[in-house]
Amino acid sequence: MFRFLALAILFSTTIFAVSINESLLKIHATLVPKISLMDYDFKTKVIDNKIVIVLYYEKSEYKSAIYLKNKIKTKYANGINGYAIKCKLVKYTDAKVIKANIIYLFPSKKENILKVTNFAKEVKALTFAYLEDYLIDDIMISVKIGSRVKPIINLSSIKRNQICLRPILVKISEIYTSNSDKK
Amino acid sequence: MKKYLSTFILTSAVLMSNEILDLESDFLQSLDEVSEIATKTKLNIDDTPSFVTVLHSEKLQKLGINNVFEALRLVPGVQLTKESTGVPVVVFRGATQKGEVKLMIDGVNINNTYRGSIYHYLDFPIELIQRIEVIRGAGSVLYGSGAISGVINIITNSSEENKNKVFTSIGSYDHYKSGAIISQQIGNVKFLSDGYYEKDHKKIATGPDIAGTTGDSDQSLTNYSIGLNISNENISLITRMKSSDFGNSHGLTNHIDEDTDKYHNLNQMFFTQLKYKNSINKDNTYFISVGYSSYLQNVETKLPASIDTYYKEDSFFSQAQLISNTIKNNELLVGIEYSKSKIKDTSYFVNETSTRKIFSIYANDKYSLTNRLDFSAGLRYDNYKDEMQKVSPSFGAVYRVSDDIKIKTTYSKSFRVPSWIELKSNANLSEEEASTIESGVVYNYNQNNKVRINFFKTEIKNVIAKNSARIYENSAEHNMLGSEFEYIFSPNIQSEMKFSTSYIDAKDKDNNDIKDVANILTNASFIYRFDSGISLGMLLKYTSSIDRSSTDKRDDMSNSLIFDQSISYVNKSFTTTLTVKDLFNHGTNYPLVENTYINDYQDASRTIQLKASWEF
Repeated sequence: MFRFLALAILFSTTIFAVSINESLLKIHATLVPKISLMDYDFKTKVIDNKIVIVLYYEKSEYKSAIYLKNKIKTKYANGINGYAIKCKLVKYTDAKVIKANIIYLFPSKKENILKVTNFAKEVKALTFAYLEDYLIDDIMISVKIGSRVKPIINLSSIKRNQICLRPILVKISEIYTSNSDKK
Repeated sequence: MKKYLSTFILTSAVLMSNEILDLESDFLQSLDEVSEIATKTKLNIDDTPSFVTVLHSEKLQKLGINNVFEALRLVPGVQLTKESTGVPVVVFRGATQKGEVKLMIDGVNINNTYRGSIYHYLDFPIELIQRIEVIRGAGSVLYGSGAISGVINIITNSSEENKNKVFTSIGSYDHYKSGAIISQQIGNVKFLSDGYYEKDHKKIATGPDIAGTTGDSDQSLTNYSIGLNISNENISLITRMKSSDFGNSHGLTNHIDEDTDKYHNLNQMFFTQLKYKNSINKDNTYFISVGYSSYLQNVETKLPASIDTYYKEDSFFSQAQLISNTIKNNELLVGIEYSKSKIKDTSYFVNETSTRKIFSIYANDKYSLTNRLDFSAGLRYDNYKDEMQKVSPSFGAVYRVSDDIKIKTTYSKSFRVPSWIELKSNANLSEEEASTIESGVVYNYNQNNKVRINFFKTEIKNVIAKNSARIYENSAEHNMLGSEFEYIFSPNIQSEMKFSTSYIDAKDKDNNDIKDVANILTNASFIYRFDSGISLGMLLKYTSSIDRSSTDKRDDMSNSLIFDQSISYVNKSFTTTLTVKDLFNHGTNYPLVENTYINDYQDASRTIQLKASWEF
């Protein structure tokens, strides 16, 4: 039995198992559309008067992706700041360049994350990670849950992608520092 | 023209700056809103002084967990056992007496006044649950009597989410379960309902019993529940009815029931609660609630002569609570409660005119001295009319050494008033009193590599226990000393493993080990998922040997290691799971008192179950 467990751990490097927390998705559903407004140029990126949010997910996390989409739709049924909200679900396997204001990334393999962040660069979209740990993979924003919830932003990624954020977001956020930056 | 242009530019600038200000204040308001969600859903448990475990249903289902009882095994320091009657018992940190754990469902108290028992909700199915929040340790300041060793709050899906789901399962012992969650929104009013039905014919060979007879222990069950939640922004109405009917297993007096079709233990509970919540302003929110609950038990068993008993109690309860952030860096919670319980009908055991009226007032303040240091202090006053008055204080602190390391400590006093069945035995009983001190550290290397460790010491005085003449008395004193350790680890960011272990040293006042308490409880769980939608869930549960009483001639109960394996397949909104529990067929035994069953309580060994669910 222990041999079986050891094998399971060994092979776990090639498989997925992060359990998606619905309470965290509820928080993201509230913040993600509002964070898209924190891009100075969001008005120029609006498509057909709609703020477009693309949700990238693994096939096995379809339920969670639908949950987040429904939460955003319910929360912002009347749109935000006069703009309607459009959520697009895209599987990581179907990743491509899609015009968007903000791209939400569910957990996935590093290569999938990097592929999507590269596509995001082409359309100058903000990127938002389910977990702050993904900021290491060039994602720009996530949230940190402590005694209070606060955004955490990857400034170097934002600069690299030539995105200009409103000062208030920078002021209230924790600035992400990767381990290599710390050194 | 120049004047007109400058006015236009000025007006535009003012409008734009107003728009930016609106945008910014709106964003800050959203952060307040999500911080409330994080607190309410216990996402920030490491930043509160309490030691809390949150079990999420999605994860539990991947591990093949069926109900609340099985889920609680994953909480550090929790030992599962069963009485001879088949009644499931949850032992927190070695506190073995009935009524020392508080259970709530969607915030409504389940413990009855009759025995303080909670077992009739421990079989509640995991499919109807969103999460289970567990406070390890004392919680009397907020939850009153009975919150000595733990507080469990079950949050159902139908209390929070607009979700539609159907589920079914089949398994060993002709087990069958089906249920659904249905939601509908009309205007701003949400209608959420859930229900399930479960049945099996579990009979397990056992014996010899107290009379030397061998036979089948009747562990069959028939359970169902229907819940309804109607809510809008300010008002909610929760109603639930639940019934659990199960066989007497190893017997009330340790005789195997001969007529398993006749003998059984029926428990039914109904409750309804109307709640109004609102905000006075952005810093002050409040709610007022009123409710009614009724509990019924009907036991037919062999003593060894056949008996048929029934018992019914009614309770009315009301509560008002204010949460205020008016004073800078303070979060003040003030509450007031009143409840009245009455025996409505009974065949025997308790005084038919028993009525218990409780008035309580409490306050708890969390004060953030700096960004790194929070203090909390709470005080509760309970007045049990014609019985007793009680004051329960608590103090706590959290110090964030860095973003990654947090140190917590708490001290609290808690109590348990005698149940009616105990008072019937001895009208002079006084309440159990407990004091708990605990400290712990959380090390959060990143979101997927986390270590929690804590140490606790609990002293329970005036423990209500039966003496040799089987009369309840306040004779005992229990001292528990222990430590709990949790490690959540992901070898890569996509994989998850959780390991927890606890050590409990539970002694009585003469420094003898308290019987039936396991010193070491360990769990290890692994969940991983392939790209194809297939996931594997593995659960390993270790219980160390269990001490007998000093007079028991039997050897201590040997340790046990149980391994459960689940495999799930998810295709869009459809999930199917196959679980083999106790894969290596080691068998689960629970300790029974000496001179009853030599081989203790024998539960099922390897079982198989197949589940399917569809969300829409």
